[in-house]
Formats: sequence, structure tokens, C-alpha cells
Amino acid sequence: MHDMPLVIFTVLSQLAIGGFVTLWWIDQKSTIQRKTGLLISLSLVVIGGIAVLVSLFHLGHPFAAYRAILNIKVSWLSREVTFYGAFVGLSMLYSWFWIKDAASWRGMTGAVATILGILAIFSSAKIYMIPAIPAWNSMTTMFMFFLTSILLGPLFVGVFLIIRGELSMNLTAVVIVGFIAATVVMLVYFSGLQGGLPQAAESLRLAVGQLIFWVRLFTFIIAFAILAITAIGKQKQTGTIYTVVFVLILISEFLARLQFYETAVHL
Amino acid sequence: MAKKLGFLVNIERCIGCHACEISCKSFYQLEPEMRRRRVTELPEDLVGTPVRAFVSTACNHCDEPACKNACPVGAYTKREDGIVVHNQELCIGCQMCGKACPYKVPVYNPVKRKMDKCSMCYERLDVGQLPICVEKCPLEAIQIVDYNEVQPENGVSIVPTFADPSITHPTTQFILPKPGKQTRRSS
Repeated sequence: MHDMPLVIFTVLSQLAIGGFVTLWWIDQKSTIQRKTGLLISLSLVVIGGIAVLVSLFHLGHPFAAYRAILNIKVSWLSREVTFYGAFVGLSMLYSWFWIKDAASWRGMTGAVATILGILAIFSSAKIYMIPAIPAWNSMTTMFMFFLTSILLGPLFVGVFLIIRGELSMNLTAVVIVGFIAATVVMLVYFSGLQGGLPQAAESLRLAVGQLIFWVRLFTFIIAFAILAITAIGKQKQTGTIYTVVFVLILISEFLARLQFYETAVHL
Repeated sequence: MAKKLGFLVNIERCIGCHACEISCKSFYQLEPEMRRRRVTELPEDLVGTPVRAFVSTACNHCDEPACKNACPVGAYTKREDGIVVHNQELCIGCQMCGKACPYKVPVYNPVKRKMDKCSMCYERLDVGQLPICVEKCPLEAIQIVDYNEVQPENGVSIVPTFADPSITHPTTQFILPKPGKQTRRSS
């Protein structure tokens, strides 16, 4: 369980970035009340901050963590720390502009933070795309990290907006597209492991042998089914549906990430 | 021309006594679970006819060190002579170098909570001494070679259990045992 802080950090940071981009995008396209926007952005800042704090626990020397930006020229980990740190800083500033109700400043800060957030997820995935661990060394790592963000972020923001009766965009469609993409990536990932180097095939064997693999699949399928069935039936999305789907996907992504680290077999 | 120092491990000579591994561990006072050099047994079908063979490996002081590129604090440097040095003062113990190295060379020191790896005893080399493993091997199976000067005639850069050298271009080379002669009685 040495990598548990990294499991929590990657899932929460991707949730925070996905949620932030969703909030910023909706704020650009329609109207969100100040109180709602502030509530969501502060929640995201708290989640993003918790992610940073938890990530420190995987270091031998957490108080020296500031040094992790020194090798930005070549190290993807340095780049991730830099981009994500800047993202959290800017998302705090973005929340401040919600307090001040300064829409144009929010728009600009949000745009820069969005780019930094995307760069942070990209860097995060690149850290793990290393030949030494064949199960990680493919583009599926990149897709999986971004899809965690695409699935969790809009659902998180959607829960708040539905409860406050302000959901004006079709977030369900975004999440369903995310679900379909995640299913394709999952299939490509598993077949890539099976047909890859012996260490990659061993990672798959280890993963499938654990109960959490099946819990992850079950929660993913149930969440997908709930959202798809209610969308096809043209049923009005409620706060309860979004909350249940969000919690199921959070569990599913957490377990998938846990397996990502725990079943990694080195060359 | 700059040097390109690397280990040359003669598997033909190695008898698997672990003297290199233990002398290194003892010299650097490593924690019980830590090793900078490891001796492992190789499959007996290594050269066609059955042989009992061992290989001693440490840091390969790669031409393109994955540890150096993974480290977020820049604790790794490659000296002009090719030795990859880890500066423990800078290390924050993120263990990313250990993950990135195809040979799992950097290991975690649970007491210092920092990473640790073979430095080819560069402090000793700098004052004209041999690395501990080279000095203590009773079979003289480990040598330091400047690969820009010498290309061992029968040196190979891969043995079973050794990761694909095209990833980081390790400098270590090995001399394989000679295949034994098989004779058959005519009747």
C-alpha cells in the first residue's frame, strides 16, 4: 500500500481539474449564480488541496517537497508538480473572483488554469509511461488519466447544479461519451496487456485475480446503466441520480487506480 | 575524448561467492535489506550446453539513465567519465528513479528515507583505488573498463534476466562462459 497516497492524489487531482474545467466552461456559456459558483469552486479548491497534502505522504522527506520542481527541464514529475501547483494556486484566485463576482477576471483566470490543469494531467500520465513497467508504458495510461477527469469532473459539478436547480447544459451527454470512451480504452488496455510483454500479461493476471477488479467493473457498469437508462427514457436527471452515479464512478476509478499501481510488474 | 567507464563482468570466472555483494554492503554500511550489487544465478542453458553460471550486477551507469530523467529534484548527474552519481543530499525519497530504472537499481533506504545506488566507488577511483567489488572479487571477475578505449572481444551487453539494453543503453558488458564439450561414446 506504499502507493496509496499516489492513488488518492491522482484521482482527486483529476477530479478537481475536470470539475474546474466544467465549472469554467458552464460559466462562460451560461449563467451560474454567485453563491453556487463560489460553493463549487471552493469545494474544488479543497479537493485539490487535499490531493496535494496526501501526495506528500509518499515522499521520504515531505518537507523537502518544494525541491520537486528543480528538474523541470527533463523530469515529468517535476512538470506535474509545477503545473498542478500552479493550477491549484490559480483555482484559488478563480474562487476569489467568484467572491468579488468579477466575471471577466474569472474567465481569464479560468482559461489559464484550464490549460495548466490539462498540462498537469498530461505530465502526470507521462510520468508512468516508462518502458521499465510495461503495463504502464502505453497511450492508454494517458487516456485513462484524462477519462477519470472527464467522468468525475462534470458529475461533481452536475450534482451541485442540479441540487440548486441551475443545470442548464447537457452534462449527461458528456459523461455518457466519457463512459463509452472509457469502455473502449479499458478493452484496448486489457488486450494490450494480454498481448504485450510477459510482465504486462502478468499485471493483467494479477489484476483479474483480485476481487476489487470485479467490484471496479461492476460499479462502472451499474453507473453507466443508470445514466444511460435514465437518459434514453428521457427521465429528468435528479440530484439523487447524479450523486449515485458520481459515487459509483468515484469508487470505480479509485479501485482501478489502486490496481494500476498495485499490479504494476517491473521488467 | 571523455571516458566511458563501465563494468565488465566475466561470467566464466564468477563462482557465485557473493564477495562483491557483501563487501560493497559492508563498506557502505547498508541497511539489512539493501544491496548496491547483486549476484544471481543464470539459467543453465545459457550457452547451449548446461553450465552453472552466476552474474553480478550493479548500476549500469547507462548512457541514457532513466533515473536521471525521472528524478524531480535533479539528484542524478552523469560525470564526464560516464559514472552516474546520486546526490543523496538532494533526494526527497519519491522513489520514482527506482520505478523508472529497467534494472531496479536505485533502492530505498528505509532509515535515511532516501534512495541509494552504486556509484562505482567514484571517490575511490578518483584517488587511484579500485571499486570495492572489483578489489574484493577473489576471481577477478569484475573489471572497470573505459569502453571508449577498449572494446572487449567477447563482451556482450545482454544476458538472461537483464532488461532490453536499447532502453537506457547500459555500459555494463558481460563475458559469457565457454560452452562445454559434449562427448558421446560410440557404442
